[in-house]
Formats: sequence, C-alpha cells, structure tokens
Amino acid sequence: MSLLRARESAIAPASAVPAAIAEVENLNISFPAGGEGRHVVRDVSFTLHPGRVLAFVGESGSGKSVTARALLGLVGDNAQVRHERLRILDHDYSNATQVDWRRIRGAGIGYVLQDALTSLDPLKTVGFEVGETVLEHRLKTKREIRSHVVDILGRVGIPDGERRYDEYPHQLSGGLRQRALIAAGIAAAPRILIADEPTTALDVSIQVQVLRLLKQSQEKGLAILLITHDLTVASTFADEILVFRQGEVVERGTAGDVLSRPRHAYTKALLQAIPGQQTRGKRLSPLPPLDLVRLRPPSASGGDGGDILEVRNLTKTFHSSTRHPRVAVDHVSFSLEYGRTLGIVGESGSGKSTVARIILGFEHADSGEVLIDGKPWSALPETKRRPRRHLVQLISQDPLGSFDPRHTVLRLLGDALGTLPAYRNTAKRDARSYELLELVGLERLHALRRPRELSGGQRQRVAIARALAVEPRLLVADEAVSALDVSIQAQILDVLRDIQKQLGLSILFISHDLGVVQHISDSVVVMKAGRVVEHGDVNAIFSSPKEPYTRELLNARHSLSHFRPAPVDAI
Amino acid sequence: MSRDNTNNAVTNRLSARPKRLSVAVILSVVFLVLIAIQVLFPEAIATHSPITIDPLAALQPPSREHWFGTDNLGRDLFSRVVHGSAYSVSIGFGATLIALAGGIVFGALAGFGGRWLDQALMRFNDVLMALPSILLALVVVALLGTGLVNTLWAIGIGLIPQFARLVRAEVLVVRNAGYVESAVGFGFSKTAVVCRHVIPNAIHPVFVLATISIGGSILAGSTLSFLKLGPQPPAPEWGLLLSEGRSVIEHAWWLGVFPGIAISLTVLSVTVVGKSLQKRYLQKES
Amino acid sequence: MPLQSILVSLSRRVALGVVVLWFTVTLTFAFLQIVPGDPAALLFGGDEIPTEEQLEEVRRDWGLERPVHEQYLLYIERLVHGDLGRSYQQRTEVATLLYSGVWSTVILAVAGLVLAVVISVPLATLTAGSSTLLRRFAFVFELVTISMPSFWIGIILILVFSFTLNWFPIVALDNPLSLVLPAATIALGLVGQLSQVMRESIERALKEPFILTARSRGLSDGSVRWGHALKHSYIPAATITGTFAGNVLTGVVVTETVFGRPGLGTITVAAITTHDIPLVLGVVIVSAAFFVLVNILVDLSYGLVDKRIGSSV
Repeated sequence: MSLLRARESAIAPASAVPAAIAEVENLNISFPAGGEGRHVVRDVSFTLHPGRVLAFVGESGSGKSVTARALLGLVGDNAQVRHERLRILDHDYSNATQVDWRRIRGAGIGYVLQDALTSLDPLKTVGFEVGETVLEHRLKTKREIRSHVVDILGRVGIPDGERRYDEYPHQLSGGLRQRALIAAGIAAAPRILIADEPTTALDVSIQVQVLRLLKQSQEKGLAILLITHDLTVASTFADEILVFRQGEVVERGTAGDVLSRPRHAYTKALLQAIPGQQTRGKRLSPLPPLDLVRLRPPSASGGDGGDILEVRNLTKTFHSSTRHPRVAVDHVSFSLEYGRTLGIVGESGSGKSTVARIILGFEHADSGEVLIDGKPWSALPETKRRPRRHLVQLISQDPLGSFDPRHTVLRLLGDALGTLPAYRNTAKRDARSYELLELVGLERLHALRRPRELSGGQRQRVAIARALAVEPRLLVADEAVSALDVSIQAQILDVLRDIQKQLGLSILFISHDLGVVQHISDSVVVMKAGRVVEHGDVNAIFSSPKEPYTRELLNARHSLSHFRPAPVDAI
Repeated sequence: MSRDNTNNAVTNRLSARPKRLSVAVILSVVFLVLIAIQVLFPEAIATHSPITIDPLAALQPPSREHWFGTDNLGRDLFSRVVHGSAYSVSIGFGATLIALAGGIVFGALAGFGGRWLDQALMRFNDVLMALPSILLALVVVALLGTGLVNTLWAIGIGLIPQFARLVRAEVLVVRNAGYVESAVGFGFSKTAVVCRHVIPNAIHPVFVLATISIGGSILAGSTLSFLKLGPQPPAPEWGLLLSEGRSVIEHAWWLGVFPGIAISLTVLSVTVVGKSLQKRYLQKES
Repeated sequence: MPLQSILVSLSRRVALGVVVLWFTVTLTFAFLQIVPGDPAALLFGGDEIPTEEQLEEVRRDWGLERPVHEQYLLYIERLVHGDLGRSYQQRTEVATLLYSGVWSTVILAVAGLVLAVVISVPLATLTAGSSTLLRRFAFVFELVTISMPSFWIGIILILVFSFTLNWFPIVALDNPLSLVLPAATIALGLVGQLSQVMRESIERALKEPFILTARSRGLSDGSVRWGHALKHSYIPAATITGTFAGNVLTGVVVTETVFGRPGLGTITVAAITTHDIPLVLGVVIVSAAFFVLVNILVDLSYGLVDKRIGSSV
C-alpha cells in the first residue's frame, strides 16, 4: 500500500520541471580489450534537473554505475564511449580532454560511493579529504580551508567539526563516515551529485539518516543521480526511475508509475521479488517450484509438536587482551518447532551470528545449553556430537568460503555424502550427487565445475544441495541471501521455502533484513546487544511490537518506504 | 534457463582465459634443463679439463678454442663454468631443502600445537628473523670453517624462520577457512579434516616460496664463495671464479663476465619459473 | 591516548630488541662451546700455533678455567660494559678496530640506501598500474638486477665505468667520486625488490574505491599517484628497508671487498679468513645491535604513517 502512496505524491511536483543541467543521449560503452568486445551499456539516454532526483535501479552488472561514471569521464582507460550528445552544465563534453574532465569533477559534479571505509583514503584525515576538492579547484586558499571544511562538516550533521577535521576515517562511526564522504562530495558546491549505492552496507537506522541528508541537499537545488539496487529506496526518494538490465534501460518513468504500473516483465519480476508482509506465502521468483519429494527421508515424521531446537539461557563473552571483554550473547533462550521457520533479526553486533555458531557447535557457550531433537547437543564432547552433526547444517552468507577451492561440485557433494553409511560406494555417491543437483535446480554440467566458476546464486544452490545431502533436520541460514541480488535472493528464498514445505525441515533464518525475515519466518526473535529483546509470532511482532527497540527498527524501515511526506496518515 | 546469466558469463570468461605459458617461462625452463644436463654430465659438455694448468695459454681472450677465454693459470673458463654448475645447484637445492624441512617442522608444530607452543615458537622465530641471515652464515663459517657443506648449512639455517612463518600462517589461514569449519559441520574427524583440506591447501605457497628461495640460495652461496668463505680453490664454484678473476679483470674482462652471466641466468630462470608458479597459484585463489 | 599506545609499542619493540641481542650473544657463546678443540686456541685464531703464554692470556681474558656458566656471565658482563674483547691477531681492542672502519661503512651504506630510494620511488610510482614501455623496461630491469649477485654488479660497474669509460676512480678514496660506483652497487642490489614491493602496494591502492573518489574530485593522475597511492606503499617498503639493514650489511661486506674499500666489511672478511674469532664476534654483535635499532625505528614509523596501527594495539 505504501507503494501507491509514494506514486501519488510523486506525480504532484512533476508539473514544473526545471531546465536540464545534464543531457545524455544514446550513450554506448564497451570494453574492447576485455574478451570479445564486451558491450556494457547500450543506447541509454537521460537528463538531470536541479532539485530533482533521478534513480538508476538495477542488479549488479546491469551497467548503472558505469553509465553514471560516464558523466565524470571516469569509465576507464580501456573503455570505448560513444554517444550522440553529452552536455553537462552548459558545456559539450563529446570531445572532452582530461583537463576538461578534471575541471568538472568535484566542482561541477560531486561523487559519493558506497562504503566510506574504503572510499575515504585511510591514511588521510577527514579534513584533508573534504578539503581536497576545494583546494584542487582553487576555490579557497590554504588558510581558509579549515574553517570552510568545518562549516561543511557541520552542514552534513557532523558535530564537533574542529575535532573531526584532524581525525582519520577509522576513528568515525559508520554513519559519520558516510556523512563525511557526502561532505567531501558537496564541499566544492557542485550542482550535480552522483550517489552510487550511498546506503548499502549501512544499518537501517543509519540509512534513513543518510537519505535524509541527501534529501536536504536536493531541496536546496542539487540535481541528484541516485544509483541503487534497492527499489524501495529508489521509489521513496526519486522523482524519475530508470530500470537497467544488462546494459539497457528496460523501463523509465516517474517513481509512482514504475512501481504501480510496471510495463516491462523484468520490472514486474523485480517488484514481485521484494520480500515483505505482502509476499508471505507467495513465490517471489517466476521459476517453478522444486520437486523435492524424492528426497524426503522416510523417517522424517516431524510435526509431532516437539522442538527440534531448544536454546536455554546461552551466554558467551569474548575476551581480548587489549579491549574490555565483550558480552556477545547474554542469557538468550528460544525454541524452534519441527517444520517451522524462526527468524532472528538484529543489527550488526547484536550477537545473532554468535548464537548461530554456538548452535552449530563451532563455538562453546560460557553457560547455558543447546538441545537438538530434545537431546543434549552443546554440552556433548565433540566425539559424541560428531555422529549427529549431520542433523544441523549451515547455509552461510559466503558459500564460496565454505567450499574447498580445489574440489569440483561433484567432489564437494560426494564428500558430504560419504559421511552417510548408505553412500560408501562411489558410483552410488555420484548418482546421488547428480540427483541432488537436479533437485535444487542446477544442471549436470555444473557438477564438474569448481565453485569459483559458478555465479553467486548457483553457489548458494550447491551449498543447499550439499546441506540436504546429509539429511539434516535443521538448517541454519546465516545471512544466506544478504550478498545476493534481489532476483537471485528471490530464487533462493523460494528454494528454502520449497525445502521447508516438502521436506518438513526446520529453518533458523538469521538476517539483518526485516523484509526477508518477515517474508519467510513463522516466528521471530529480535536481538540487540546480545540480548533477546522480543520473541513471538511474526505477524504479532511486525504489526504490534511491544518493545521500543523493535518499534525503532520497524520505524526506520517504515520511513525508508515512506520517505516522502505522505499526504495520507499512517494507519 | 535464465538464472542469473550475466553473472555467470563474467565468471566464465575469467576462468576461460587461456593458461598459456609465456616465452620467458619456456626459455627459463629450457635453460634450467641445460643446467641440469651440465650438472649430470659435465664431461660431455666441457671442452677441456677444468683443472689442468697450461701456463702457455694463460689469460687468453675468448676464441674458437677457448669459448670463454682462459684464466691466469691457463685453465679453460668455459669448462670451469660447466663444472661449477654442480656447486650452485647443490647449494640452491640443499639449502632450500634444509629450510623446507626445518620450516615445515617448526611451522606445523606452531600451527597445530596449541596456543602456548605456538607463542613460544613464534617468539623464538621472531628473534631468528630479526637476525640478518648473513650474520648467522658468518658465524657458522667462522666457527665451522669453509667448504661446500658448511656453506649449505649456513644458508639453509638462515632461511628456516621464513619458511616456518609461512607454514604456520598458511596452516592458520586454512584452519580457520570456511571449508574446514564446514567439513567439521559434516561430522568429519580432526585428522580427516587436516589430511583432506588443511595440508593440501597450505602446501602450495610453501612450494612457491621454496622455488623462489632456490634462486636466493644460489645468490647467497655465490656471495659467500666470492668472499672466499665457501668452497675452496681449485673448486670452480661460480662466485669463486669471479673472486679469482677480480684481481686481473682490468686485463682480462672475460674472467669478470662469464661466470656472472652463468649465475644471473640461472637465478633469473629459477625466479621466472617461481613467479609463474606463484601467479598460477594466486589466480586459483582469487 | 595515542602517546600511551606509542609508549606501549615502543617498550614492546625495545624488549624484543633486547631479547634479539641477548639471543645473538648467547648463540655466539654457544657456538664457541660446541666447536671441538681448545677454545683458547680457537679464540687466539690465526694459522700459527700459539705459544703457551699467549694461550694463558686468552684463558685469563675469557675466564676459560672457570665453569661454563661463569664464563657466560663474564662474557655478558663484559659486553654490557661495552667491552667487545681483544683481537689477539691484531693485538688491539676489538672496539677500536671496529671504530676505525665504521664511518667509511656508514657513509657507503647511507649513500647506497638513499640512491636506492631515489631510484625506486619514481620508478614504482610512475609505472604502477600502467602498461607503458617504461613499465616493461622497469619489469625487466628489476628482474635482472634481482637475479644478479651484487658483487658481480660491482665488477660490471668497474669494468664499464672505471676501466673502459674512465669516469669514476675506484682507488682514490679522498675523491668523493670514488663513492659513486660502490653506492650504485649497493643501490642496484636493493632497487629491484624495493620497487617491486612498492609498485605492488601502489597498484593495490590504485584499485581501491578511495582512488576513484579522489579522481572524482578533479585530481590529476599524478596527484592521485603521488598524493594518495604512494603513501600506501610506505609500510611494505619500510619493512623491506628494515630487513635491508641486514642486506645492506651483506651489500657493504661485498661492495667493500669488490672495490677494495676499507671498512667494516673488509675487516669482517679479514677476520674470518684469519680466524680472528673475537673480532668476528664483535662484528656480529655490533651489526645485530644496529639491525635491531633500525627495525625499532622502522616499526615506530608505521604508526606515524598509518594511524590505524597505533590505535589497534
């Protein structure tokens, strides 16, 4: 419903569009040196206007970032750039030299990348980085620079600029760092700001702060080009949206139109792929469901009302010689029934991954206990736990790291199968491996590849196949879809749901992403600073959170999708 | 099937890059094969005896009879260089083997042996690494005396800390790798995990370092010989040949040139091969 | 509290340095014990058989008639007081002998190091991440110099620049030009590795997003390389240079031998060939102390360049 509201408000100010300050017509970019002439951007046209936001939306490799960089002449040395028109700030850049480009970079167009930790030089002070553009374009003298920078820092909401001026990026918190990066982007008062995934990798609450800051700049007349993979962010923040797919713009229109009346099948699929309350019980991807019934172990009765997992009063403190001991997990208790999915949400550092590692038996708890299938688990010595380890399997965020790089997919699956007495025989093992691959939607030819030759989604399927190979009862998915593009994330979430429905497995689903958790979980545990803040049915928690922290989290997400002041009041 | 094809195409292209050997690597391998033949059958290649003195033929420039010229005692330099290759090769391989054996033992002990043993061994290693290897070599030679075998020990011992540190680091990296944890999660025993995953993955960089340190050992060996602290005359060790020629090079340039070319080409070839191994290995990793 | 963390890391470094020195001293002492034969004769050195009075003198100096642990304590005590012992071959204090050669050696080593840095920094900075002809030249140049033993580099330099071209004298020690070829020999021995290591880290830095950010501010390619990327090569380069303090020692020994320059290197080689063990031990201990000092300074400089290092300790 929030999407509709966004659309209504987007149409309103569209009546008076100021004249364009950047025009790009039929932009084509290819990399002739990279293999067989890779064509990464095809016939893309767009315009930028003061005080308006244009968003490029697309998945990784769709060409959205390269297109934006063409505005700065920073596509790369070996790139071939062709276009019919390239006018920026009343100048023609069709045949621009390096000197021309340098004049516009920073002073005419500011550029903000994601992840300020790597986008700010770690060996330079914040003040130096913010002031660099200004000095490079000789807008201030060395003597004036300090007060100018402190002023800019204040404007982006960094308090105590005098002190921050001499600090290094690593001394700032994630939110302040991203603000400092934006400060550097607008320090020379450019009229255009390119923000390339400015909120990715930030916690929700900080995302909102950063977007609010960009919003303020826009209201002061800045033209903003926002690049994002996140349709929610784009829809609430942008006036116009261009949807990129494999180097082409497949759809364009006002934010409202694109979201509520998508014309292209790809946009439709993308929109459908966004998990949340509205997608509960539905498929996210257009692919057909898997047929896993063959895998169903005869013994898997499930559903007898018991708990597959019981976590009792877990506590874990990490000691370090240099820092204060950190309580990562603080008296955590919860349980998970057979055949259900329990989501654990929390921001980074909330202890959710440590809980997962203790459940998996990779970490010892200081006190408390984990029971699997009603029997002792965490208290067992490793040799006793080993024969039952197959019951609990991990699907991690980084499947590549969990595969031995020397082995083929076939060998990876075979090794896992080898732990079961039924598969001591190689021929049997191979046959089963091929069967597993097919069941998770991969093909036979993938069996002889090494994991690094597969795409992210394929790797995650292999990880799932390998986990299923040993007939587990509990899957622990630790940020299993966080590193994936929306459409691939949708496929993997569908696969997990198929597994659960058809095999009666229990899933412990850990994520920082509220939407994903809301989509897939039956019940939810909210964690903060090592403690369980709230625990209960997913619908109850998401519709009427009892604890202030949960409300805060939900509000932050809410304001992401209601960024524009909505004309209608919230329910 | 249109499952995330774009991503796949990129990775395919990267992995499909032809793994062609460069000309430099091929030339290096050919040269090393030549060196190996010289070591095994020096008589077949040398044109003269490496030790026969002929005062009448002293200090002759390169000619058809004496390809590299002759030294001040009239010995044929080409034949001496051919016979000298055995010294360089044994120092290169011998010292590296000593370093490899010592490094694997200490590194594995530290990597697998638990926190206390690890700390103790690594602090000891720090101390050894903080000591320039030339000092160690000088002490060994000063006390044990000169000669091929002592040179070999002097250089090999100095290299052990480097290997120990690498072996330990690799073991620790691999031990904490996701795939080791994943194997534990499938219920494999500690021994199985070590044999199946830790050792095979940790051993590659160690062999790369070994290849590269063969070159380094040859250089160090020739340096000790040049200082007259290695094999003694009339051994035709290459560094020693240059040391003997040093006093007369103003009149006989060839004595200061050919043995040096022999050393440099050998080391260059080993280095090129080592670097290409390293590149291959790194490519696999990323 | 950065000062406190600097002091902590400094004291840790100094402690490690003291341990290294103590270890070196103990190692040399242990070697003396292990080597078969009469230690007095070994310490006296030389090729001639020493007289009984001479041996008696050695035994008195080193306390050889006492139990081993007392000998060890005596040895340590002497060193702590700065007494490096006597060379029986040259009938002089070891410290005096070393002092006579130290200046010539320090000048040579510093000149060589400075020259190496002056060549490597621009070579690495200009060629990092580019595919120009200069880059290819640099690549071959580095590979070749790394593969050449430094004494041979010296010999070639003498052959070409001294004997053939007559540009630089090598014998006239009071002529400053005579320093050029020896310094170049040391420098060429270091340049290959130094610029390779620097280029590698500059290239790694050039791929980082902060370089793209810097370019997006309008900086020229040169400013990006010299202003941002170069600094990121400091730590690996300094580490290598620290280890080079050891290699410089090797370089100096070899270079002084090749060019016939007096200094610690020639003293060392002479000491080894005449089996002048007290002198050899003196050289080893003094160079270990020098090496430790250089590496403490190098380690301290890390924290100055990269503030992340100081704060994480």
